[in-house]
Amino acid sequence: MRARRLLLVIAAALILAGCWNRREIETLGFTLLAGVDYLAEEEMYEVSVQVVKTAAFAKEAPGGGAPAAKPYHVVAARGRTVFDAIRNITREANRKIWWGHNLIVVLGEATARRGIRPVLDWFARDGESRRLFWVVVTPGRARDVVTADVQAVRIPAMGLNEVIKVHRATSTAQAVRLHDLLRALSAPVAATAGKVEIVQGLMGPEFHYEGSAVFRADRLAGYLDARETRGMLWVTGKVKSGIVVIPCPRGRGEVGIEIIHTSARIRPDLDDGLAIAVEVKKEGHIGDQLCEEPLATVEDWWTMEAAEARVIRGEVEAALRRARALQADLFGFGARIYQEYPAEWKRLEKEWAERHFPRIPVHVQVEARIRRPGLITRMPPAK
Amino acid sequence: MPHEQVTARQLLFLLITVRIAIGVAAMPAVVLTRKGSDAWLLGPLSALGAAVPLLAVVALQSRFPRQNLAAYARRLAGRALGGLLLLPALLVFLFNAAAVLRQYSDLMVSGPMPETPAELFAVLGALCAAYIVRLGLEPGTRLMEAALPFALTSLLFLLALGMKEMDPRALKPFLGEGWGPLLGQMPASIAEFVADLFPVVVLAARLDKPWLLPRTVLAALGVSAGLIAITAAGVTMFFSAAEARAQAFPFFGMVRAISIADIVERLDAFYLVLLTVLTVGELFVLLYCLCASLAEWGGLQDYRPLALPVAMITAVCALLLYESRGEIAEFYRPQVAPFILLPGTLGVALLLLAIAWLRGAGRRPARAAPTPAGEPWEGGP
Repeated sequence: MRARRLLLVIAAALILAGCWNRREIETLGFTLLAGVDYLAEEEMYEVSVQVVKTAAFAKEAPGGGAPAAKPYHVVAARGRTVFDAIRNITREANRKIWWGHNLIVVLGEATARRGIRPVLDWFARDGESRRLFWVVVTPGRARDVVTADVQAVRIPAMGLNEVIKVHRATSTAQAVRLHDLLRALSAPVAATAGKVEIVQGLMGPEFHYEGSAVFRADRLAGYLDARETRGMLWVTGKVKSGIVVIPCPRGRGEVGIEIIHTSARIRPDLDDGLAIAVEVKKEGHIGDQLCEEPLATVEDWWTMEAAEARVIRGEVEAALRRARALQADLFGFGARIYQEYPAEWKRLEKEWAERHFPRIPVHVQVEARIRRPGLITRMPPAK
Repeated sequence: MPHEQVTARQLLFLLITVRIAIGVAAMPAVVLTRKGSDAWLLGPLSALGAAVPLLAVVALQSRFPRQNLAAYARRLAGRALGGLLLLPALLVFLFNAAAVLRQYSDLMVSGPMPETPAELFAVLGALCAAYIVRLGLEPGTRLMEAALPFALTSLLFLLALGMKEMDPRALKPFLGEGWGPLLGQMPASIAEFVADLFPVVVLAARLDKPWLLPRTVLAALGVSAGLIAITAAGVTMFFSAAEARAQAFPFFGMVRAISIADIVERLDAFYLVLLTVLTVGELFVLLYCLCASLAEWGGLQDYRPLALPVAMITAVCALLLYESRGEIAEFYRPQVAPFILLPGTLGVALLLLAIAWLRGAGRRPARAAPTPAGEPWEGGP
């Protein structure tokens, strides 16, 4: 019995003492931001990563003060495939890059135009990487975004992560995770991703996150500006917040309406030939008012609601025009036709983006409601 | 043989465990490759299709309420021929156990621990199951009786956490391709159901109230079909049909992608614990069936000493039976699975049923008190 117990203890010690996959934290390089560029001349991918120096946090001087060194460094490597390049980074970084905490992957324009499916394959396939990071496209090289020396934050990757997350304050950009992108790529809908650029701000380089990158199949087809992006988000029901500026009902000046709640519905209709009905519903509050007139009557509110509906419709139509020009069904009209009329979709599928989508009649109906004026009904007139 | 008994509820739990451990928890892509947005329908439809063959199996078992397959095969066909008839069924048990272990090892190596050898997971899983078999059917059953409700609730909880990302429109169009593709996949799925619930021919010998067997099997069929439908629908809504089909382990993939307010995420570890519990539970049942059948056929007094060697053989089979996951997917094709799984299960049962009917052997189970402990089993060694 004693021998058996001893054997059990030895076996447990062998099995439970550790594993093949143990990772000591000091041997890992945590990447938070990665960029992928395709170098056409070399026919190679270049992956650049922003790796956090965990030791830099531990060695901060007591009592505060500016830290001497940046808490991150950037390394890059090239390879025939993305994974090849990622493994080659190990040579430059002197440690294995850990992708479990990666926040953002930036795709350079050349990469996006060549096709993103092969680029994203490793990120979706590997057990270390997760589907929760943001995917963004930059009109230039991804490496420039990864190496940008943004001063406002200690670690640029975390700064960009916050910028992406607060996009909802304006709804003029969108946050797209790998999960969303892969889902869109496998559906009859044009995938989109956020768009980031490095601009010169007051304190040096800054991230400018606005607009969207649009893909046809998995290749970058073009970009949407801020207005078009919000137009697209109205139709897909993804506007979370933002301000709609409308003219005052009876005078000069504007009223800013804060978006509180939105919903959208896309309904394909076959009754008189194929058409799409888009219904957008929006609720909001008065956020500010530049005109002095009191917005006291119900007619004033109706006028404002009608004006707001016109503005929203204008944004939707702008997005629709751009989508048609790009031959990219951003809104998922094709997906809705497939879901409701699969037989009809079979007929349309092959030439949907090039022939049918640009011509299909789209009826946009916007219902804008302004519910409350905020904590004051108007600013008292100046005496 | 040890005088062990299980209640109808315990038998139900064991059968559900066998059917859903890998079928739901790991949900191999093969479950979903069959028909995109309608994949969730395959579970209930196949359960309906499997009900008839399983009732035939139950009819056979009900004729020999206190005996297992090995005992009445020997009684009906003699030791040598009975052994020959038993062999395909044993191979199905062994194959199922090896497949479960292989899927589990593959998931562990593909996901959280890529550098740990798959052999370790196969051997450890088999050892754990062998240990429970060594404890005996009753303690093992009580373990599963405690673990299964927790595991199932947790799986449903994980599914609920994924609801934020689920789009019900992914299940449309409903039967967009018609019934054809779905019906075409059903033979393989029915064969899986029959093979997974076939352990009833061994477990039911220990059922304290044999007359409850038909309703227990039907309940197991219904519950597991419901769970498979719910999880398949959930995963399809989470990923979309096409993307779900691309996942090697869709449920695991879903758990990895759950994120609520950037706080509730990285639930993989929790899920892997559940998967391990369910996998070991399923292995326990299959190893028990193998050991009990072999002991019965070999005339051994006790099945438990067989647990370790059988477990090791299973682990070796898990590693050697399939060259790659491509071969596993190949096996589950409708052109392959029914022709391997059904002869060893339904075929054997029908043959024995025919012999029993011709020879007038066996009897319908009467409503009677459970066999008191110590009383010899009918047909026992």
